[in-house]
Amino acid sequence: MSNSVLTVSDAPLQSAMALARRRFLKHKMAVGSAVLIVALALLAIGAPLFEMLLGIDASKVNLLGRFSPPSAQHPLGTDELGRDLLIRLLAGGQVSLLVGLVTAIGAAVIGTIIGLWAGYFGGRLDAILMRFTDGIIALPLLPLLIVLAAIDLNKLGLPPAIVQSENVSMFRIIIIVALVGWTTVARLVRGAALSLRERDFVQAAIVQGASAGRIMFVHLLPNLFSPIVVATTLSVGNVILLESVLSFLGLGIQPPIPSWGNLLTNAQEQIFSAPQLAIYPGLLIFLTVFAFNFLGDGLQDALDPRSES
Amino acid sequence: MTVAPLLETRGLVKHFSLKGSGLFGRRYGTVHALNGVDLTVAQGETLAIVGESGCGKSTLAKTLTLLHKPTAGWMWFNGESLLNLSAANRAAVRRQVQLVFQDPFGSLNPRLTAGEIIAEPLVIHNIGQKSERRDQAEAATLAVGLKSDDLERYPHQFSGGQRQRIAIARAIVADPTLIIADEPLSALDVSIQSQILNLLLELRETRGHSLIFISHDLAVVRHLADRVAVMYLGRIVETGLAESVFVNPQHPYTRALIAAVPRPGAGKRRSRNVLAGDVPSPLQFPTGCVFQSRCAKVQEICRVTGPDLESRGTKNDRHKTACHFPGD
Repeated sequence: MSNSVLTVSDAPLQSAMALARRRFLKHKMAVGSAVLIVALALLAIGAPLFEMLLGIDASKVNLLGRFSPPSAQHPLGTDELGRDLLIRLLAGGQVSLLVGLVTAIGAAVIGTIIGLWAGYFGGRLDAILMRFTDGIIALPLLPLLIVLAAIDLNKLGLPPAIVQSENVSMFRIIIIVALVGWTTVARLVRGAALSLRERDFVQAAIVQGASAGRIMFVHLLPNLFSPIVVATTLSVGNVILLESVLSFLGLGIQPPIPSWGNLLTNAQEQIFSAPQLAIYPGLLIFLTVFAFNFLGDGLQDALDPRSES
Repeated sequence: MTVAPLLETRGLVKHFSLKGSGLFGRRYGTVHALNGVDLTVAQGETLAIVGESGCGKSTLAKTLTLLHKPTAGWMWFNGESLLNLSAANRAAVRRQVQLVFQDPFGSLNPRLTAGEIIAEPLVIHNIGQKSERRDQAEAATLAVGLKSDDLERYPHQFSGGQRQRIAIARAIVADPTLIIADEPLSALDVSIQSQILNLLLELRETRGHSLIFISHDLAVVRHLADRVAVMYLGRIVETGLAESVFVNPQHPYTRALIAAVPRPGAGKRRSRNVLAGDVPSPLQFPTGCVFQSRCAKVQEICRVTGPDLESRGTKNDRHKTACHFPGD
C-alpha cells in the first residue's frame, strides 16, 4: 500500500486543472454529451445564418405551404402555419437553452448562499432558513407561478422599454423559476456544509482564527463544488421541462417567440396528423436533458481530486 | 512560583447538553466531558495528557483552542483570561496556540495545495507580504522534512506520515508559543510514528515552544514529556514530573495503566492489577470519586466525597494525586 502512495507522490507535477481535464476526457459519455450540447448551442446561435442560407423567413406565415414535407428549402418541412420547422427548432433552442442555463445558474447561486449560511452558522439561523425552504417547497407551484406571471409589470414601476420588449416573457420566466427553484441546491449545500463543518480541516481553520467568510469561501465552497455543479446541470433539464409546462398553460414563452416547450404545445392538436411537429422538439428536449445528466456525472468524477487515475 | 505559567486552567468544566434537533428541541441529557480540570503548562515545557478513550482528552484540546466554550471554570494564557476575549485578543491567542489533529487525512483541506495549507496561518493573521509568506512556508516545509517541490502538491498525493508533517508545518509556521497535539501518532503506521515523534522532539528543541501532547501511549509519553497529567472521566487524577509519576504512581488508575504497559525481556512476572469494568458513561456522572466504580480500594468516603488534586503520598509537592488512599 505504501508503495502505491509513493508512486503517486513521485508522479510528475501536474496542475489540478490538467488532472481534472484528463479525468473528464476519459468519461466518454460525458465528452459526447458536452460535444452535443455545444453543437446544439452553436446551431441555435447560428439560426439566423441558416435562415439566410436557405433564403427563408422563419416568422413569415405561409398558409399555402402548411405541413409541407421535407424539401431542399425546408429540410424538416413546415408547421401548421407554413413556417420552416428546422429554423423554428433552432430558434426555440436558443430560448430554451438560455432559459435553462440562466435559470439553473441563478437558482444555484441563491441556493448556495442560503445553504452555506444555514449549514455553516447552524443553530437557530439554520432552523429558520430551512423552515423557509420547506415553506417554498410546500407552496403549490402552479397557482403561484400563475399569479406571478400575471403581475402587471407596469405597476411594479419598471420602465416601459422593458415591459413592452418582446423578451419580457423570457425574463419573467427566468426570474420566477429561479425564485422557486433554489430549494434543491440549498438543501444539498446545507447538508454537505453541516458535515464539512465538523471535519478537522475546517476545525483547524477555526483554531487558526479564520473568519467566517474565509471558512465559507476557501474551505467549504470549493469542497461543495461538485454537488453544486451536478445539481445545477441536472436542474437545467428540469427547467426546460418546467418552461414547457408553463408554456402549455400560456404562461411561459409567448408565441411567436418559439421555445421547445411551446413548439410541443402547439403540436398537440396535430399529434396524429403531423407527429413530426411534436417528435422533433420532444427529441431535442430529451437529448438535451440526457446530455446534461451525463455531463453532470462526468464533471463530478473529474472535479473530485480523490478519484484516482 | 516565579514565572507565570504559559497556560493555566482552574476547575475547567465542559458539559454538552443533548438536544433534540430543530427550533424546539428538548434537552434530554448532559454529557459531562470535563469535570473540573486543573492544569498548568510552563514556558517551553512538554505536558503529556494520558487517559483512555472517552475520558475528555480531545474535549480538553478543543476547549483550550477555543473551539468549545467551557461551561464553567477559568483559563489563562500568558496571564490573560481566555474567557470573554475581544475579537482582537482572540486572534492574538489563536496565532499563539496551534493544534495538530489525530487524523492527517481529515485535517488538511483536499482542495488546497500543501503550500496553501501551510501558509494559511500567515494569511489569516496577515503576516508579511505574499513572497515572504511563501518563503516562510517553504522554511516550515523544510523544517518538517519535506521538499520544496511538495508545496505544489495536493494532500491526496502524500502518505499519512507526510500529511502529518504538513499539519505540523502549518502548526509551526507562525511561530506559536504553544502547540497542542491531539494523539498525533495514533493514526499512523508504527514505523512512521517514531519519525513523527522525533520530528516533534526536534522542533521543540529548536523552536522552544511549549507542547501539550495528548496520548494513550505511555511509552511515548515517558520518552517525551517533562510532566504528565493522567485523565479519567473528565478529571485529572494524577499529575507530576514524568519520572516521578512513572516510578512512583500514587493513584490506583495510574498504577493500573503503568502495570498494563508490556515490557520486553525476561524477569519475574509483575503482578498485574487489571482494571475490571468500563468507564462509567459520562452521561451519568457519579457523585464522589470518579474512579470508585473500578477501584479495588474503594471505601465509604470515596462514594461520598471526590478527593481534590493534592500533593499526597509522596514528599514531592509537585506530584499531586486525587485519591483518598494514595500509594499502596
